[in-house]
Amino acid sequence: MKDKMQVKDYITVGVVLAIYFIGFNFIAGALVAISSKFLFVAQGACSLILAPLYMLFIAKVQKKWAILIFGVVMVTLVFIATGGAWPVLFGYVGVIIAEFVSRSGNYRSFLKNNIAYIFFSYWSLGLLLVYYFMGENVLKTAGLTDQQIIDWMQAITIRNLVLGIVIIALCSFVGGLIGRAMLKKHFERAGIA
Amino acid sequence: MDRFALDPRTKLILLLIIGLAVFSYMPTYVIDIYIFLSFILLLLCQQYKSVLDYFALYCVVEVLLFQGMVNLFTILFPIFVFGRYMVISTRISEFSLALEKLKVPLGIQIILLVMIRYFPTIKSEFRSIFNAMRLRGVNFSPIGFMRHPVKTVEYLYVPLVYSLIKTGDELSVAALTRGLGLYESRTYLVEIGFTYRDRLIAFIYLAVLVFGFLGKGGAL
Amino acid sequence: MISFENLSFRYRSKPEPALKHINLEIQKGEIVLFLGKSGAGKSTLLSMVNGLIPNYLEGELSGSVLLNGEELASRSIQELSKQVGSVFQNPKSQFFYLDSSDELLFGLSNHRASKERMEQRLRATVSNLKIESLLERNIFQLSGGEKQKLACASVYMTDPDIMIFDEPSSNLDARAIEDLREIISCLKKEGKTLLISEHRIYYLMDLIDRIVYMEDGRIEAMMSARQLRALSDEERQTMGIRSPLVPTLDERLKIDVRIARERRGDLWIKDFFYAYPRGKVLWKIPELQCQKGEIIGILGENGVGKTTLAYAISGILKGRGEIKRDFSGPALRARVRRKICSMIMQDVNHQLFLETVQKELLFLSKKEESLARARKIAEQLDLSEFLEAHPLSLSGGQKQRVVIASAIMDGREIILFDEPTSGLDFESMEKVSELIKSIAKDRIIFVISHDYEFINKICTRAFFLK
Repeated sequence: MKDKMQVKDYITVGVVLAIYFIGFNFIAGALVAISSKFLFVAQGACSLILAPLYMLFIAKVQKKWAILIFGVVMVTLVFIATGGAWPVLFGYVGVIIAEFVSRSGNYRSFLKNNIAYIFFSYWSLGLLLVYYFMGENVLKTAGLTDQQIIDWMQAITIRNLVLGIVIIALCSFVGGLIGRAMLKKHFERAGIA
Repeated sequence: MDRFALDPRTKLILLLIIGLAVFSYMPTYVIDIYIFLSFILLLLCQQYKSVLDYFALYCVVEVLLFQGMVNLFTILFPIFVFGRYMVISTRISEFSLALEKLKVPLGIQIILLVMIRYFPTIKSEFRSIFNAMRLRGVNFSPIGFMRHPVKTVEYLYVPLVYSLIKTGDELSVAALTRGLGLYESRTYLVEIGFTYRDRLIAFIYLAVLVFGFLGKGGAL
Repeated sequence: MISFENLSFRYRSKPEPALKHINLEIQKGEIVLFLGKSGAGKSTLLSMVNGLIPNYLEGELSGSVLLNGEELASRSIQELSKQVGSVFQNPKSQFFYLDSSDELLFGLSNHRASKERMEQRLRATVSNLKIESLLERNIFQLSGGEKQKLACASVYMTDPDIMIFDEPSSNLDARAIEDLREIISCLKKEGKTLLISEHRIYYLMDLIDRIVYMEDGRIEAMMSARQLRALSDEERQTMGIRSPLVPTLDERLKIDVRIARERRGDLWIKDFFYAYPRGKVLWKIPELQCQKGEIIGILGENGVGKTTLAYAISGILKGRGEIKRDFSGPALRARVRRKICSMIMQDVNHQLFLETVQKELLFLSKKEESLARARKIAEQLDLSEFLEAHPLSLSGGQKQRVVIASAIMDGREIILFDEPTSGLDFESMEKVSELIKSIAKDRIIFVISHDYEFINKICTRAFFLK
């Protein structure tokens, strides 16, 4: 049929995004609540667990700009929800790349979709980047003493950032594999893909 | 509901002001003022019990000030409380109209409206599926979860996503047969607009922000 | 006004055509009832009128549908929505908004109606359909009947000439059906053309002008209401049509849960009640005694708490009071009850989570001995050919049977059914009845239902929950 996004497709975006949003908040929230050390792992865990959703989304809506719209709306909402933490906006880059990578495979190539998902997942890096750019400000506002801030900020290193980047990539890739398995095992056979 | 009506766009601006304050290294008392203001707004919406709950939460948490995790709370709390005010005080149709006035394309409007509509649905579907699983014999206690984490998640995931996507398709059918998408812009019965209230509140929030900047600079 | 000319249609994913050479003319202002077994093509035919076919559902179409002489197929669904309104059977997924007033205005908003028109239509809708009590309410807090009323009202708001109803009474209790009848009566007076597909037909009998009976994609017969009533029970049942008479509960079934007749039995429910966290009591069962082999019907209006009762009995929710095996014994705790009870929920989709029917059945069993047993049960329930299929890909009735099969496999003694006949045609209702009766031996079965015809058929006793 038409290659343009239709009402039905926008509704699908809304539904998947709602689940994604709640899922992310829940998983990341739970992990960080257990220990703030999980800060660098939270994004990876979310990418892993939410991958099947993304894979289902691409399988269901194979239209131009679908991924971009999905990603842009999500990043914008996160931006607003955090009260305007601008490092989050770096996420737009990952989303744009994801759209074009997926499109190059006509939204059907599994490998390309998986790679696209990795770039897509990098939006969550923005949440980490907040600490890198504005960390001291944020923590000072929170009322931490200078010593506490120094302790906290010790974790905010380039090395850990690179670690975070790698974790997200790994988790996204593995998540993509799981997602594809779920597609084949369940969603396609149940008729909703 | 008798409420102190603000244009949804104003609320958005206020949220960003609060965010700016949080991320600009404001003295803590400034943040406290914003929290206090949010409480007032909630009270104006007659959310007495919520305010009491939030105030209690705030007191309890602030007492345990020495945990790193707690301070994350202090950052999020002002935004959270104001967010709650936004949700309670805005009718979806007003929100819809605000989007329209901001010239947001229909497709994006649909996405946002559907998301809002689905949040409670997700909760109730999840609960129902959770109960069904429990009855069948799936063990959800922490021990059970530890033993089969992957499977447990899978058991919840599949029926949940299936159910939601299926109702999403039915929703599409219903929406189409009621004309959604016929025109790029729609008409509304509700009205929104900027009144003295918006100007007043915006002024207050901005004033606090300026006050905060001055305080930060050591001028006070 | 509407004419179908040699219309045939085949869904893209199915080998057999759903509609075969349909020729039919419907006049303006007619109320037409479409009857037939599930799969006969009623919904497909109605989907032609509101534009879902061919714009949303894809397939091969030949012949034409004309509205006032104009071809329908070339018009978009949205454009058609100005003249054709549709009410579907599932109240849960028809609403776009969360507030009822917003929902009412949805259609007119999409049509870019002026504020004056919106206000005018709102006033007309509230007074004609009597929905004053439904305004400005949270849709999630409405009962099933209220939701369906809201759905009808929302469609009425745009003042379409034609309204399509796809099994609107599926989930409704007697009172809600009465309200629905009132609404349809009102629509008829306004001269609207109504196309209604239904199984539970008793409430429409004196409103309809014509009955179109379909089978296998063709129009097999056309009748008047009088002619339908004149059919013998046998003829009617062969055609798969439910009773046209107002259903009433068989008197012999009624029991009083305040005093149990005897003090022996296999299950004893005493002083059982459920209270909300704030203290308000939803319902209370002073005394109920049950025996194995019984099928007990639980009746009551929408919203009175029947599903909650089922949850409480099976131990998912905390009910207060006692449920025990015999009068003098200890009470069964919720955790124990969860192991001996099984429930077939209103939405069976929530209960299926494995990738094949076979795995679903074998979930709690240890593989080796059980495989043969599972196969046997599957055969008894007509599921043998689906053992390797994904449970969620099956039809509603088949999914229901999978859940029942699982309950049998798990050896559950108490089985509860929550509205098992929603939306089922006569034949399917019969099958479910036979099935439940056959598994009642050595078990206690509770059935929640609005369907008196069904209750009369299978229950040994029934009571009203208040």
